[in-house]
Amino acid sequence: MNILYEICHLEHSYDGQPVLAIPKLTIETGKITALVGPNGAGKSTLLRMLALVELPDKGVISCQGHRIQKNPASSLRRKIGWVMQQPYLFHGTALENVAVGLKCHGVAKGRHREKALQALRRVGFDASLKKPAMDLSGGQRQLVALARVLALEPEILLLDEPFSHLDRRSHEHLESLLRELSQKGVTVVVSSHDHLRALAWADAVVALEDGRLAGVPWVNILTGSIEQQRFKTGKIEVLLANGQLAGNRIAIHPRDIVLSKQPLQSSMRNRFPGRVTGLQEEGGCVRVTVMAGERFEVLITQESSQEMGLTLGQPLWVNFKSTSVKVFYS
Amino acid sequence: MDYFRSSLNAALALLISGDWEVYFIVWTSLKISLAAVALASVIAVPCGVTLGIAEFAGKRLLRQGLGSLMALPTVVVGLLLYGLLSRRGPLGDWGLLYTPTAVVIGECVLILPVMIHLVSTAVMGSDPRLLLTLKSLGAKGWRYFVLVLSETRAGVLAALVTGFGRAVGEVGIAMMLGGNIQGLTRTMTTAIALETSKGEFELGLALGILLLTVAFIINGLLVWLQPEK
Repeated sequence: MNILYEICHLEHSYDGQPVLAIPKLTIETGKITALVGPNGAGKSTLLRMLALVELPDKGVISCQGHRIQKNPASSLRRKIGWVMQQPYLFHGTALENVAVGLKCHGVAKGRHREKALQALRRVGFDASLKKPAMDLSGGQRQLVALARVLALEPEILLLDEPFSHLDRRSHEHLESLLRELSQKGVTVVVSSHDHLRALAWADAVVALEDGRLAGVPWVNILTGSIEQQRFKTGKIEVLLANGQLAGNRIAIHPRDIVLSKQPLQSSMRNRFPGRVTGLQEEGGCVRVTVMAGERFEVLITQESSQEMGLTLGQPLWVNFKSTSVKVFYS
Repeated sequence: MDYFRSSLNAALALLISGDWEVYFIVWTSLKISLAAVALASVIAVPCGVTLGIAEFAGKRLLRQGLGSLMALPTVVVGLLLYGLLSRRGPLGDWGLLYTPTAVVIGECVLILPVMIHLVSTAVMGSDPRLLLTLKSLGAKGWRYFVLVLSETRAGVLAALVTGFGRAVGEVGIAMMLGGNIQGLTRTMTTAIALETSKGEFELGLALGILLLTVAFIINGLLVWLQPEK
């Protein structure tokens, strides 16, 4: 494992309010890492720190073995491309915006147009090149900002909610572009509030909640109470593993759930009958939504989906081990 | 009402009269004020942008001081520079007193803190994502400065317009350092003061209307120079 970023005992606060507290976190080189969590979880703050534009109050962040200081080496900064959730675009057209980055990196003026056009085409920007950047839609603005960064050929790409304003087609195009970049060795860190899609698509997922690393995925969260080793939601009762005695919520990883057409005779003690209410391609996998007393989101491969011949309304069993259930307070 | 009507008529008559002296007064006012703004810009724009970007101890106090100097009385500047430029003053040998250059220097000193303050305010009030974006794109030095200036140009232009307004409308410095010499340093404001002291109120008011008209045209030109996007 080749570690790119290493974070140790990071603490940060705004106006006395703690926003990040991460004891240890590593991000691997050449992989796609998704930072997921609800709004205000600290994803954007962490990305700003990884982008070297903000320093933590306490703790250490190292990038490629170099501890990040107040004035990081410009050679290190130039390896990083960062796109904000609502990126700032300069006055002028999309093309001129991409050219600004090239100017800052000292690229010869004669190559600006060619490189900018190439980057804009790559991200799938299809609006008028003569249109003022201020008149572009939210999604188009994000694509211009991404093109501005991609034109600089960064080794590390940090994207804050890059999919938030994109339509489905652009979303899929961007996902495959990021995958392609990752295969070429570029490290991609993406923040997202769509935990399920991140789980399906990214190589690694870091879940944040209130600035802390969340031990559970923010999918398949059920609320209820524990009685005699069972978690009662009011609709279903989930069997828990020994020792899981305290908490008011549970979470089940969508990859830990097994779907079957018949009840399984297996070691999985939790079995619930239900019906398929949703089927969607999600980052190369299939996201199956099953109503089985509670709503369950399940990720399976496209091959499994085809073999099972899944259709909407089809009766199915949801199965998972009691050890797959994470119990926590929230 | 007759007073204002006749003043307005007098102003219009002055404008279309083809009176060489009136045009020369207008030209002298414009020349001096624009030169003062140009000179002040060379110092105020880089200083204002730097002050807006930089973080250092005492920045707030410095800006507060510059803000206070916006209320600097013109006669105080005139008096200070008179002491420097008069024959017995340390710069008396330069022979600048009662020349347009002396008035340009005085007005430049007057508007400099105003312009630095306004330019720094424009930079500090710009979108906070601007500086972060420039930082992350690796912009440095001259390129960084030019990009910040380009993105905050509306505020910077407002600083120039304010500087011009203060320069063209002041009378204390023009009177003390220029001496209101006909055909040399007589500006619209000193001419108004002179005509009023002579009891020529209508002519004074007419020149006042002319001054406002000129200021309106110059402001219009500066705003026109500012692209919308």
